[in-house]
Amino acid sequence: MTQARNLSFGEQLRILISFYPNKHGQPDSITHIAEATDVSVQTLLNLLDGTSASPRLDTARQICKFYGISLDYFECKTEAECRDYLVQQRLLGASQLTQTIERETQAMSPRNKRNVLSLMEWIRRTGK
Amino acid sequence: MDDYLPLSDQLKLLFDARRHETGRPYMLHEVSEATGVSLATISHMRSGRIHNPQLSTLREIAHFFNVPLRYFETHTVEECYALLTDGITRPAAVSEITFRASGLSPEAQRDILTVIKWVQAAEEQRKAGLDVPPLPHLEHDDDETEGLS
Repeated sequence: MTQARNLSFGEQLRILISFYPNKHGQPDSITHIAEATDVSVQTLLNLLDGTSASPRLDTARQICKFYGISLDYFECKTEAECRDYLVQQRLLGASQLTQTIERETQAMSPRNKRNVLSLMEWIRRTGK
Repeated sequence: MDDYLPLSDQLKLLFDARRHETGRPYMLHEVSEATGVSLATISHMRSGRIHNPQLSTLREIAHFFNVPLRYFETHTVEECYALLTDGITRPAAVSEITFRASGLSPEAQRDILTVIKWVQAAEEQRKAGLDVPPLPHLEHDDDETEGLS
């Protein structure tokens, strides 16, 4: 059952990093990712340039946790598959948030619900 | 650090759940030959001596046992079972049990689990040649008990 493997871990990682731009529209820097995931810069660089062919389980878990995806991402065989997976995850994440908001507001009094709406309107106006 | 279920536990559950069609568990050397992962690595992962292997190693194992890679991100035994039974074509009776149970309240679902555990224990005893009292008769709507209400 060995399938042809088209993307290396390094390539999968590169696609992952470039998929999530930070607030300046740039992909996160390796230093930033290293700090946030507690994975060393060297480990990340070795993975990206192919010096190490595969991450360790802990490293992969940390990276996945940082990006809010599961290890299944590393089964994607093509760049298109990677992107599809990440788009799906983003939609999933978004709909879960909406559901949480709905659940949280359901039990509120009409007055508080109106307050939530005012807050949302305020956020819409202030933030981009 | 997150409290993931130890890799050795995840693997034990995997070996226990995924067997030959005859019900015989896979031997370490069979998995080793089929996946190309060395016997020592598999054996040490199962015993807990290796707890942080290469992801590529686990990918081979996951393919062999037909579980998604996120199986190795599980935190609880229940999560493992959920992934192990995911997508399995179930016998009709099991599907019916699942279907009926899904419509019940959480309390009732816990009752069902209790009953299942009781039946499992009873089956063990029966296999061991011990006498097991039959399940008490439970009344159903479709029994001929219409006079009572």
